[in-house]
Amino acid sequence: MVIVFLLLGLIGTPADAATIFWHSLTPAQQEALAPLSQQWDNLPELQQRRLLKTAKRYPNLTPEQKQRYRDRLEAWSKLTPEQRKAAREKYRAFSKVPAEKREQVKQMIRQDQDVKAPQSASGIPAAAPLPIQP
Amino acid sequence: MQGATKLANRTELSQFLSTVERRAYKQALYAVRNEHTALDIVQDAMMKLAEKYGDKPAAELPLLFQRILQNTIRDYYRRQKVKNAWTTLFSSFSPKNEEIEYDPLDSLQDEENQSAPAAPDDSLQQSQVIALIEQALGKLPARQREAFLLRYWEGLDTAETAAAMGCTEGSVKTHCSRATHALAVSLKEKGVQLP
Amino acid sequence: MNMNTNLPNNNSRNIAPERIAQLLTRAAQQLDDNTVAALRQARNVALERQLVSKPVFILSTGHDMRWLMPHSTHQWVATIILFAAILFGGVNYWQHSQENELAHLDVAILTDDLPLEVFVD
Repeated sequence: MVIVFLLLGLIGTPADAATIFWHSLTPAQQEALAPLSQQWDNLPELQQRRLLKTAKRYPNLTPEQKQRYRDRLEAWSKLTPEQRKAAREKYRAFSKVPAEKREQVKQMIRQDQDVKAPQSASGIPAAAPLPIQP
Repeated sequence: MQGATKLANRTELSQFLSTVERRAYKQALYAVRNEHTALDIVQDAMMKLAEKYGDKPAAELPLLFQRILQNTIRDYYRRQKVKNAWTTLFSSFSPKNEEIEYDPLDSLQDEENQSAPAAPDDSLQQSQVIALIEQALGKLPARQREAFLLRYWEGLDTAETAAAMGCTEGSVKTHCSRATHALAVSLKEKGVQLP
Repeated sequence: MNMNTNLPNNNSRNIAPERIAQLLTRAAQQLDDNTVAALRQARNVALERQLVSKPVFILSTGHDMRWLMPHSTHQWVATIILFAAILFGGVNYWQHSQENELAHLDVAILTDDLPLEVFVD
């Protein structure tokens, strides 16, 4: 049984299975993927290849798009593969909806911007003792 | 009031949760206006506190919990908006003002009249005032409501409120004063006078 | 009764926040029985989890899958050849075109004017 699994593993793996190290990326790739420089070497190889494919399109983005791309990279790479897959499907479905309806929905979502989460969510600060509650 | 080095045990956590759970539920309810969702939020926040910070000193629990609660409310609120958007996307109606959703805060007035326990000083008028206050709270911008409730209902000071909300103390003061003013305006319009 | 002194004029028209808080507490005391019970249950569920720090993943060794596996050498060989044929044949081409579409989608999601959370649960 072990041999079967080994064989299947070999068949499923493409030729270049090695981690792509950060230092081996081109300057253009590093510029696009800069937010991920810390964790890059630890990412699964498949994820690295996919990210590199997106990075190829980076030079053609508008400045605003470039900013969004870089803002979202970290969160995107932290998702599970299933979440990314689900997101792609959602986006596919969203794109198929008529433009007018899409715009309506965008307005709904953009409402009430004060519900945005605060910036620093890292760690809970040390708490002071609280007054006794009535 | 030290003893801060002693870690919270189950009794202390239980005690804390039992004192805060009703207010937590109400806070969530004012924000999301849905009883089931509010319960989910409270459950979620309690679990996060117990799982991640259940071993913290008991004195730290209140602020930790408030921070978790506010974040959880915010997450649900935003997820709700996205869900509504997706429902709209695949419905054949245009969204506009078609929502005839049951708003628990709007019918509070009736509920209070029917089920309020007969305490000696509990008057019909007070129940109505409470209902109006809760309605007004529900209409506040989220950050203002958060700041107001943390500061004046949970009794956190400005620094603690800022920590729970993830903003500056200056912002807390601004949110609070705006909230107080908005509530006053709202209640005055309805002819409410409080002693 | 304390008045909120942070406000400009009209102090006398403002309702003291503490008074509002008192009334909110009154409302919280009047929650219906079902809600109170639900809250108690939520509390108990949370307490159950207080000491569990990190989830423990139990790995399946695959032994319970034995009934699915081929039982004889002949079957083994046939299975292996079958797998090989299917995989070699289809995988590479399929992967290549999939990956391109994926990259296109990924860039769209990462640069759309709607935030990421709209597409992520």
